[in-house]
Amino acid sequence: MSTEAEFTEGSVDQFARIDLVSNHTVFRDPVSYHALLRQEPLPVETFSSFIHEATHHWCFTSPVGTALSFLYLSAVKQTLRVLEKRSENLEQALDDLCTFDVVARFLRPLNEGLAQFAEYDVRPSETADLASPPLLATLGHLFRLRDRLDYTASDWRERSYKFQDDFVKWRVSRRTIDRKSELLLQPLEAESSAYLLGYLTIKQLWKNAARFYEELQSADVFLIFVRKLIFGDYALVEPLLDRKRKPQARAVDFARQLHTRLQTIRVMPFADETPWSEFEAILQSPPREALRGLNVADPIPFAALDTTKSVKRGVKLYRERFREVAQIEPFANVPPDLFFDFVRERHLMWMGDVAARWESTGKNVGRVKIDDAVVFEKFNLTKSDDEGLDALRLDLYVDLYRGFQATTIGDARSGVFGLAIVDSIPEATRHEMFAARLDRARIVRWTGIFQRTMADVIGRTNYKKVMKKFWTAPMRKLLTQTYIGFAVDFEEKAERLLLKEGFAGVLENDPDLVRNVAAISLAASADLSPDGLVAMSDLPLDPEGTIRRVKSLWPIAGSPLAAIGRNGFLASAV
Amino acid sequence: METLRIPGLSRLEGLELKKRFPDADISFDSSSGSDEVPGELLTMGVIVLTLAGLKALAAYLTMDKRTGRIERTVEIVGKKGVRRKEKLVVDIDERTSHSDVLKQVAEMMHVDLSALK
Repeated sequence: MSTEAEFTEGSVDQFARIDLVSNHTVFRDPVSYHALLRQEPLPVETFSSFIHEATHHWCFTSPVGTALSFLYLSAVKQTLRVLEKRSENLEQALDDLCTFDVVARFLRPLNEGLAQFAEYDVRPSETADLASPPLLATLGHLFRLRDRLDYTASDWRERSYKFQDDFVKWRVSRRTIDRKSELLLQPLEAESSAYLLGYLTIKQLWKNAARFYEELQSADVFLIFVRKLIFGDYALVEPLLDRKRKPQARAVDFARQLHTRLQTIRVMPFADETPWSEFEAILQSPPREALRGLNVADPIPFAALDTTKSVKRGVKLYRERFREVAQIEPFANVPPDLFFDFVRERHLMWMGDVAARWESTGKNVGRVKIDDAVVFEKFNLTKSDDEGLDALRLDLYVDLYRGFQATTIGDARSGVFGLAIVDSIPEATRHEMFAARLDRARIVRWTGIFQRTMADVIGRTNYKKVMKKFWTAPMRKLLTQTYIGFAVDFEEKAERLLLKEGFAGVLENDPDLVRNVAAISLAASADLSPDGLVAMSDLPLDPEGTIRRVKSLWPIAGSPLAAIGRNGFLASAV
Repeated sequence: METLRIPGLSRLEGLELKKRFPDADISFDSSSGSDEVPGELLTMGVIVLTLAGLKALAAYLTMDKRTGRIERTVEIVGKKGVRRKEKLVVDIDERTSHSDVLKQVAEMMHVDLSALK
């Protein structure tokens, strides 16, 4: 672990994050998720952090995300063979690692842009025909909307309004406003930060997209659309996994295709001939009981536009690399099935762990308790006996794609030996879950070992020099240019101004003005009028004064930072 | 000049501190770690260790809390790049003034306030 990471360790509870390779999530305030074990709804405040990480998780469970994971794991596997002197081909391992590193960096703005768009712009809807797995999981597992609203009760409509009100209050609360303000204050160049560049890219693309298809006015539907066109496209998998080309060429080709996809989303050349119903059929999640295995989030290969051949090649390479990574292989100090477990379990989103105790009530039957509360009664141990069993560790998972929650039970002595899952889960899924090892502590431990091993090995090669040579100033500029036109909707004046001064400079370095602009942008996402914003927020705000002031500070009249739309609701380009 | 690296100090808070302490030199480290790991935005503020900078730090510590114990780890980067970490523990109540916090912080960081400009 780097010195930097050790230093920031003290604040990790404020920083939710995810590992692209294992798809292991770490949440801010993990204790709040313990309520899920008791089947209790979580407060609406958990929305932001959860949907941010769930969006990353969903993107990383895609063909492109999984292919990136294959690249890294394959590089590790090849390196281990070299370390055990069973191979001398370290070059191919480093080529895969190089492709992984460069592409991950090119994708960072998009990853963070989508996650923040989910956090600040997506909101629950009762009318949309499509809903993303992160949003469905938020409503179903976090907020337990079905229980909370109880549609059989006479007051379900009042409860529904109350939930919507609570959600909007959180969206325009001081805490959310401060987070959005911080986003707006980030530098625009990718070299300094991926966050603002990515967010503005998605936001401007969304504003354009709604002109082509009415359905894309829903931020959540747009999120599904973008993810599918980029992360779900096997044509983009092809350059990642094609070892016939040099790694830098693979990565640059990926970046070029990424830019083309963004441009396609912006201009939608297919809109006149392709009715929305065709997209809806592609974007719709298949029946949950039909989803199995590796491609649980994207079971049907999707060919965007005219890339059918590339898709076929991408699928072929994807399958080859899967076999290569997942194949059981004996290593001196690494469990032979470890790589398979990495691949098999990465679609499950880890919500945290909690200490518990075993209380025996019969032979291999007992209850699982957290403090004095019973979380599982009459739990039957089928894979171990309960002799001497006492301190337990429970790990909580959510399957975003098949919509269920699972809890593993284990201890320090034996690892994981039990699984609690609701009875309504289809038999095939239950079987798959029971067959998996689901030992997240093990995955996390080995992730760290792999990172240290690779750092040690590349430290003895010219890898860092090669990477430095690749990331020249023009290449770093290319990274920003992949996005920046979309981020400012090709307004050169806005680009110049934001690169020079950032929003901080534009808004006269006035923290109150920044907060008011952020509040207006959040209120716009919740269809609030100026009066509605003032009434719903816990922060004293002046939307009308802000609109007047910002008008003279921001030169792009067509994309106002703060305005009132024709419908009387607040509007903002950010 | 020595600098203080403060994880979690945001740009928004930086603007507020600059408004109160215009002489404080506050910047942000763009490679704060969060840009290498996908996830929520993590910020790393950098304050130059001057009297105004230390005053800004004292104000930052009490920004969201008016009573109780505040614990923060900051990193001090010396003139030659040597780094040391200091855990700041400040107890405050309604009667604690900004200068009381400033004195406590300086003491914990082994900084002589009278020597600072």
